[in-house]
Amino acid sequence: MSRSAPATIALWLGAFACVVGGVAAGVFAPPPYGLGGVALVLFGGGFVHALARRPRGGRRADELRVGWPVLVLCLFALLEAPIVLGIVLPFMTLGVVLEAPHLVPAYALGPVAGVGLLLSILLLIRMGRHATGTHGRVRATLVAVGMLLRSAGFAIGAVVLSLALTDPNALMLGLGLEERLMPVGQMPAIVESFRLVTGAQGTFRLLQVALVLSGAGFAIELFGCITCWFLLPLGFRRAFWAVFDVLALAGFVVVTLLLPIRPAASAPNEITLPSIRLATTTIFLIRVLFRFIPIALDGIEQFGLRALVAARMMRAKKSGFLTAIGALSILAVSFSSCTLTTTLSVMGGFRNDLKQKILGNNAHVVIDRERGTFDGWAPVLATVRGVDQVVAATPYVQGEVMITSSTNLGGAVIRGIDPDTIGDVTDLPRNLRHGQMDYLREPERLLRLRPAEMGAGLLRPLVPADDGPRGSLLDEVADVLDTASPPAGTPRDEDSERIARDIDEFLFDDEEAPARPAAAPAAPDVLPGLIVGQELARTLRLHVGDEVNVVSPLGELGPTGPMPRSRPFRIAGIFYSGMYEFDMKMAYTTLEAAQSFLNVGQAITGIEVKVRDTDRAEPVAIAIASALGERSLRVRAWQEVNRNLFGALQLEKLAMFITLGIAILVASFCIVGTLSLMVQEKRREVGILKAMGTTGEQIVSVFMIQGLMIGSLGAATGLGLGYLSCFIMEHFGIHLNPEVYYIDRLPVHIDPSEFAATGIAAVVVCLLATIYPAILGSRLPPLDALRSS
Amino acid sequence: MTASAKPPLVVIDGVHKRFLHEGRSVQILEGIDLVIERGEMLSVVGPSGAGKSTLLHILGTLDLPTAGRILYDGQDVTRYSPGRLATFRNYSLGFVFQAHHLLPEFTALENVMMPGMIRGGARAALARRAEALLTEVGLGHRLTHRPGELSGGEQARVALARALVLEPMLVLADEPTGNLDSKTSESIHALFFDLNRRRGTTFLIVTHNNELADSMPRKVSMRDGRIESDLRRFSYSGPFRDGPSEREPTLDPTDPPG
Repeated sequence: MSRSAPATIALWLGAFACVVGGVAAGVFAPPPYGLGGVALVLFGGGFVHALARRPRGGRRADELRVGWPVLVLCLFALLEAPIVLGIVLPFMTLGVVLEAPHLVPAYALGPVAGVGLLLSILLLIRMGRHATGTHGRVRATLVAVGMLLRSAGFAIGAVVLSLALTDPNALMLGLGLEERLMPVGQMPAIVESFRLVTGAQGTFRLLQVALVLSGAGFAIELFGCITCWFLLPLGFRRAFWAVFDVLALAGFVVVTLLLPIRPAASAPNEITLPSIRLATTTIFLIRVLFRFIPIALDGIEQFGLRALVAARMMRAKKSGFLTAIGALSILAVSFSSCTLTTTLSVMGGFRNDLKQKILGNNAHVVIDRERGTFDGWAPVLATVRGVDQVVAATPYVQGEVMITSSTNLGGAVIRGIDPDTIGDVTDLPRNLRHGQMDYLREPERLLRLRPAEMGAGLLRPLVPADDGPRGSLLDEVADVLDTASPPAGTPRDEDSERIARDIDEFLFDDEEAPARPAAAPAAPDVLPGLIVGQELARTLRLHVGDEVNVVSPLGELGPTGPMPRSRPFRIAGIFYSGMYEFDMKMAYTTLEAAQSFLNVGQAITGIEVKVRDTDRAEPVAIAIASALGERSLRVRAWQEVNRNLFGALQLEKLAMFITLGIAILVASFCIVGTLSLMVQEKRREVGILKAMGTTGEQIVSVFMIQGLMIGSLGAATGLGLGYLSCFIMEHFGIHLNPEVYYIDRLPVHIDPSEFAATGIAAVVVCLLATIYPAILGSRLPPLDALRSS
Repeated sequence: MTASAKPPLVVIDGVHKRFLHEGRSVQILEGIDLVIERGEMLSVVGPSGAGKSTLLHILGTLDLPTAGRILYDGQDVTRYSPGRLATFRNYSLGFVFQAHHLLPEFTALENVMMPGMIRGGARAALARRAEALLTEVGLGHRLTHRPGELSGGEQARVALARALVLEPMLVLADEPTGNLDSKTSESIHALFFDLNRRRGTTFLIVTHNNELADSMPRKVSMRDGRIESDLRRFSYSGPFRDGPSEREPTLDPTDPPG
């Protein structure tokens, strides 16, 4: 293994190449490559340092003594070198292809990085051989293998992506119209575009292979680096963490003072600053947790002998395998409880969303008859309003009808309401997207609408969010118009309304102009107002002020039987409730208009009641029923009306809790393994303790407390992680396809009681898991342990 | 046998011990009879495999005899439940092992406190007592050291202090100075005698060290699972004043040990 002079010179040159190349990359290259450059500088510096410290005379000439600073620098460089090699080298070609000459010097550093990579592998193997013994050799080789795999993966991937970029359609395919106009922040679409292009070029498989290679390489490398970390001197590691913790604390203070915790309302997609704050806070909290563990163990030690012995055993230096499996079992408990809380929170979010929508659109308590309508409702209404806990009540009359517009027809439920009191009971007035409740009372105002008020029911996207469904060309145009309106997310102004309206008329004018009431030359009649849901308006292509025909199947008796009754209404408003059923089926008009149309005289179908506390609607319903004292009237709370729905949701949640609870159970198997191993490793201690008179019950407790500590730590970190992921989902949002879910982002509802239940369940399961190994430990014969020495 | 108001401290009555080794029965102890009086110091010597350690373990209730009785103060401990045995060990016995068997995760002070903590005593009082005891054995300056940071002699002293902390009626020592140099061994032996003299602690010491065995008031030699000889060097203030005797009188004369 003696090194010849030329080899030494080559190594020196390589080291200097690294330094020079790294500096150049840091100065010229764009930021991601610059980081690689910095790494190269560090690496080169470390290498030169190592060479300079090579002992002369006395020792073997080839012996390379490296101190820990070099080891650290090299490890850091090793992480970055493959990135530099994999990305810079192929992109150098690309730089020429894209004719960006000013970047070529930076890209030309690829070969330098290649040299760096080669040298770092050589150095690793050398270090492993001479500086850190057999363990170090294995671990360093592991890192080297990981590096090679990752470099290969990056190289293949970069070549494939470079080829894909040469395709003129690259970055464009798979993008929606609006994204093509504004291709900013559309990562998924860009990924999709790459997928399509590579698929067409036949390199998709290769890309997948590259991803797998780099992923596996990265994992191996990470593992190797973590194991190498423990080869470093303890003093250095302590110092590192001390510095790290000070920085983390400073960072935490700075971000808490300076950065917002959630995206600004004006730019909900600008999540960089909140993300930085969240990440810094998380790192800080994790470090606090780690710093807190010894203090917590000190505290636990005060709780008697069992806790003392258990805490000391946890702290004791253990074999590598036991340490690894112990860490694994904490991680397993942590991840399973994290998954459980997150899932429950999302399901709770869906449930809450549904509940809110149901409560917003329905009364909390409904009073009606099993069938038919009832007269003389005024005293009933007065009685109901007098009941304790009742906030408001309003009468309604309801019937099934068909609504026909000039272009289409659809079934609906017409509901006559009292416009003055409906707002006290349901959210209808607040859900109006276009038009006003007043138009129901004063339908003549519908004839003097300003264009802006008409609203483009047809052109509205399904959901008032930026990314509506892209079903047709029309919708795309609509979306473009939506995104084009100056501040995204704010209600559109009059101009864009008018434009929308104009486009709508332009697109449909030829075939529909004769049918449009707005275009009718005769003076339009004053018609009763009708408020329809957004989906119905979409289907029927309705705008505020449009005239529709409402047909009731149950009319007067004609010569041939019942004749359908038909009457024109004018659209007074369009609402969006968030519930597809409602938006598709409900049509509201005044009580009087509905009563005369449905031919029920003064009768009503029922009374809708709002109560103070929605969760206590059922007792209020009972109170109302007893106050009315009339058997023919049915009083039902919202829970009863929607019992099937919520029952199903509850069952689903329970099933999910059990299924994911099994994940915790599986994680607890890991604890069984850990503790069994612990029992084996601590045979001697158990024997000594027993010789001194420790009872079996005390030994059982010692091991159960250890399992409890593992479980608690896992559960605590798991709940923290779960809260973090829920927080991220809640504030940064995960977008859903609104066509499928009818909501635009994943709803999250953080329920502290669910977190507590998960935590308790995890700890209990872990405690149960400790029983077997603990009994195993208590049964260890003391003699075996004492003899074994 | 002289009648006494109090029964002897320990009476070993016809103890046999057999192990099953690879399907074959191996006889380790073949009828041991021994009486230990309060305040005695006796050494057990004999070649390897004579059954010295097994006798010590059985005497220490860490192992059960195949046949025979162990009477402490007239109580047969072989019939105790495991829980009661543990309490008995904690209250009545102290162990000193060749390998010292200190708990590596605990400091010297905590190791000495451990028997008291197992009993459930208050830590502050225990700490005071353990500190005093450690000072007595010359380790007042090593209280917070872990066993790994102590020399062999120091570990032996800690183990001795641990065995004595609850003032047991009997201290069982299995080659306590087996792997210590002679100078350290002598100081430990001196400590044994000193403690016996000042506190009246009963010691049973299994040893290979002839010097130590010869300096003890009573020397029991074992061979092949039997007691070969039982010599008393000096008289002592116990019930047996007739000087050294070849054989200890058995409890049951009709069953003389072979």
